[in-house]
Amino acid sequence: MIGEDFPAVLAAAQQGDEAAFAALWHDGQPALLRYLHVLAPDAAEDIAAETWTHVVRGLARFRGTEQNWRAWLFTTARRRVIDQTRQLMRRPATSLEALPDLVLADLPGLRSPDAADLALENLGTRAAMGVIASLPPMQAEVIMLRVVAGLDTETVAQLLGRSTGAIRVAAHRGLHRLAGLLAEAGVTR
Amino acid sequence: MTDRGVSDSDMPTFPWPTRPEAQALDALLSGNCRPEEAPADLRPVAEVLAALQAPPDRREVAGWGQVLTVYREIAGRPGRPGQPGRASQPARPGRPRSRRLRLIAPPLGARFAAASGAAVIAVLGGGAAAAYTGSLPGALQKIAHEAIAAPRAREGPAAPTPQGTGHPAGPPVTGAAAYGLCNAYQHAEEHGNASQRSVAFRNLVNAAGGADQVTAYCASVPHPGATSTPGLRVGQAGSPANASHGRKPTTPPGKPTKPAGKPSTPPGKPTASPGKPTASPGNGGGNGNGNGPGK
Repeated sequence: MIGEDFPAVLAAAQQGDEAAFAALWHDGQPALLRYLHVLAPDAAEDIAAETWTHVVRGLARFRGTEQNWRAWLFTTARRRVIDQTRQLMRRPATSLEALPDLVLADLPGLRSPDAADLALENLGTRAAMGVIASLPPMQAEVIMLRVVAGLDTETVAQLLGRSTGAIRVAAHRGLHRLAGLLAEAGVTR
Repeated sequence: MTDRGVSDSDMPTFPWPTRPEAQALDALLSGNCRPEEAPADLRPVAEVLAALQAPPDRREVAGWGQVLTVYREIAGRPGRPGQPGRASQPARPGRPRSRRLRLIAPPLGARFAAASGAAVIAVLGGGAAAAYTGSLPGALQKIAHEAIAAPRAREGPAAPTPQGTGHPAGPPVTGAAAYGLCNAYQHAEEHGNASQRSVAFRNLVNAAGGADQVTAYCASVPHPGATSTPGLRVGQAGSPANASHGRKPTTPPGKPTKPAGKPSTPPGKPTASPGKPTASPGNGGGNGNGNGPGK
């Protein structure tokens, strides 16, 4: 997030200031890519590029807060995903029941406390995204929008066309599943 | 289970989680809770969420050159060589820009002098640097690979070297972008939370080619607005970008992965509803509409 200076940065970017646009892009792109990797892993880069092209075209007319800006960015990306795949989550989520075995089979040493600590320290972004992607689609998307995109519950609700209550439920359930998954894998503290 | 129509006031009756748990989860979701502050049973979850917000690696900002090309074509970079400049813009004489300069330029140097040391250590010493190095728990890595086509445990083509080691890694950005990064860092410094700070800083480390070079790097980054903002610093307002962009007027070192000819993607027709962007929170709404001004 850019914060207090967002209006000034946005205004400058709208005027053609490359440095200001660079700030917007570098602030938004990593989160956008991660979000897209969960939604459409095979097309994330392409969709991100299309999203920015679209956003650049509309940039001069954009008015709003930083939260609005991010909502626009992610809404645009989401539409592109839908357009391209016609089916948001084409990849079936790995079933929760199947995961613990899969995890435990490969992690004989993880149950010891030391190993668990080590695992947590090394838990990488890609692995984290992979675990999130294994959640049911809506839960995964809500978590990505809340945590990675930095959108508040209300904004996510509007973006997804759901109630704020539904968004909270999805997020909590997702985290609950995640906790269970990690516990099953022996990643505990 | 009806997902819809559940009001916030109904939430406490939801069988799981209990109220304190729900509050803890909300804090995690809002980024207001660092892993070490999370309740013990939620710490692994907090670690995963923190990993999701880890600073970007080089590949994640590799698309900048391509996007910049699009931006220049559409937003009409004033003073660009061989370009009429400001073609698509209703020249408002640079007022916002100069305001921004006042906001940002002065404190930058001092800020870095103070912040760089500790921040470098914090960023590089933390889990951030390990994010893409493949040193992941095998099973999680496997899940990641299957779920999102992440690089396999140890093979990665063009395996990114651990960014934290201070190797000069060829800044993937132009001088102008670097200036933006320095700005972004300052914003994060002042207003961001820890992870945002680290993200901004990681960008800088990447651009600078090493953690130990950030301070010097930012100090040397030319002000991109110098030539395009009349009267600022360099008195040659009208002269083309050679001066402003210093080294590389056009393409950034990290070349665009695609022939940056033009936005290869047919952004489609006036995307029916670019307006909706801000379908969200009140204001900001609709505008942005009828985008595709140029084309």
